[in-house]
Amino acid sequence: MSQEILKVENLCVKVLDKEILKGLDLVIGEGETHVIMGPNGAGKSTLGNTLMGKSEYEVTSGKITFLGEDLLEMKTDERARKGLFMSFQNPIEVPGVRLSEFIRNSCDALGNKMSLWNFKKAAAEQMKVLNMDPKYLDRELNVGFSGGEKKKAEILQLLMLKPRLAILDETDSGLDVDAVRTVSEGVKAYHEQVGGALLIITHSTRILESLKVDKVHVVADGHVVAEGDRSLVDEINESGFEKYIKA
Amino acid sequence: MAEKIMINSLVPPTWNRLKVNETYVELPGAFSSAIEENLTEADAGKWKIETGCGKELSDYLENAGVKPVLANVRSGILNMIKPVYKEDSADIICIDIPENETVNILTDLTSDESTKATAVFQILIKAGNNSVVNLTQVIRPGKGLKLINDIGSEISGKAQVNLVQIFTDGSDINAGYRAELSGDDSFAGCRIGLIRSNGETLDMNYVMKHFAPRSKSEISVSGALSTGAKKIFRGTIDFVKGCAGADGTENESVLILDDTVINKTVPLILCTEENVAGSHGASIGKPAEDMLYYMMSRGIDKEKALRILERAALESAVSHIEDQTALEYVMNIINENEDNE
Repeated sequence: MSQEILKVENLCVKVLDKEILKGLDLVIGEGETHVIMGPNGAGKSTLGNTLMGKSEYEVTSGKITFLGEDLLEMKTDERARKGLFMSFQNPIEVPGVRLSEFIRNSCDALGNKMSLWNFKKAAAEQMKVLNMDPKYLDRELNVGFSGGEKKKAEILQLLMLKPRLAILDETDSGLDVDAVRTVSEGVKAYHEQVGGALLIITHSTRILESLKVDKVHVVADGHVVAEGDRSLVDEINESGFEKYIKA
Repeated sequence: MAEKIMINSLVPPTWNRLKVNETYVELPGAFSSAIEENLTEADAGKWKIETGCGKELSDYLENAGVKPVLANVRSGILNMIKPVYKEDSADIICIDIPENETVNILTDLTSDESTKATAVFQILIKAGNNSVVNLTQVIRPGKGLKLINDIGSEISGKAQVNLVQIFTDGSDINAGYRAELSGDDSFAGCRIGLIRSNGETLDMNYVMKHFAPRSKSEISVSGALSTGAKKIFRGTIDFVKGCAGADGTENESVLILDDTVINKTVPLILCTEENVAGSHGASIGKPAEDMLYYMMSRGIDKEKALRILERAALESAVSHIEDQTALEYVMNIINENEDNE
């Protein structure tokens, strides 16, 4: 395994007094691609949001170390500045704030200040990968975007912000085949350009088709119930999650 | 001698306990002019136009000897009006736009921090048939200036008056605007962007009075309030009998950035004509936690995220500025303010 960047140990998380994660363990190495699969309600998105530091997710026990530091001591913005990114399952609309302004402010916050010219040039290059019209940069962030456009805008941010670890929370959900292919190309480009690690949360497998997967974790009832290589994805495609739910 | 007068009165009044029926301001007994340019005196008898702040203010100015003057405005350029505030002052600027003309006007109401005074700035507009008046106002008085910014307009057939107002931090402001849509197919647009903080008050009274058939008005207010700011917005759309086919809308979207602010919104639609369309909507509240979480997940800290949302509120109004030079002027001011923070 390459150098460890994320270590989750015995993580227990409550949301509104309901325990969702019940002792989850996970280790991700630099540049690796990990997949979290599992049935609805297994706790996959809870894991993503807990890693990112959403306030209503209460960590009751366990430890998360990211790049050698205690992630639980950091606020959400500090986590992002440390190199963590999450592509949202339902990206939030922010009226009045243009996509370009948002990404540029984010780049600034991450210490990558760019002139407007350089920013537009960099954004245009990445938008080509995603078949996005550069005019999207002038649109209000996610306002009136279709599901596919929102997900492309998330991947554009991934490509521009170049995090050390990107969590993709159901990035392929609700997308048609062509949109999944485009988003998948964007994720591949991130991996090639940045060499960052990926934690892909999904209950489908279409987004994985063009990616090299290092490890698959099956989560059910709040903890990891099975782990394996890419062949586990094929097995789940064939048999579903039933045996893990029973387990 | 200083006197207390009533401005921004609501028609009709509502419950007294809400304390929004009117506002009282103390005005000095004498005023100088803050306009350095020599302008021709207007015929006061021809410029009896009702304003948003109301008749009591206009009468007071008249009794105090404040004379209306004609602004030198012309088409094809950005006409700039920038008063220089040093002492108590009042100016009544009359803008007379002939048929088929389009004029762009920018007023920048600002003052040095050292100026301690009361200022009344009143604009009266007559928009001739098929004319277009694009009036942009940046309203940013320094801390010692108590400012009353008051507008009245008479809008003839197919004429448009497009008002954009940007209120940035500064001192207490009273603002009024009254549009009389007296010509068929006339239009009054009013886009307001505001930021208020540090205990500042903004007391507003905006009235769109529809006399003519198919006249149209739109008021939109977007802004952000924090640290003890107090804002009252009274927005009245008044459909008078005979204005069949008229359409009036008002929308307000205000972000409350902490628990110390007071925000009062009084939308009113008055109607004595059946065949009209009037609507109002308001979205007032704290930025959703999800929105802040999303912004913070990209490395933007909470304070910066709130500043971005404040700026977005202003830009929502700025986006309606037609004239490119005026737009750049306003954006420069917004950027300067941001740099100073």
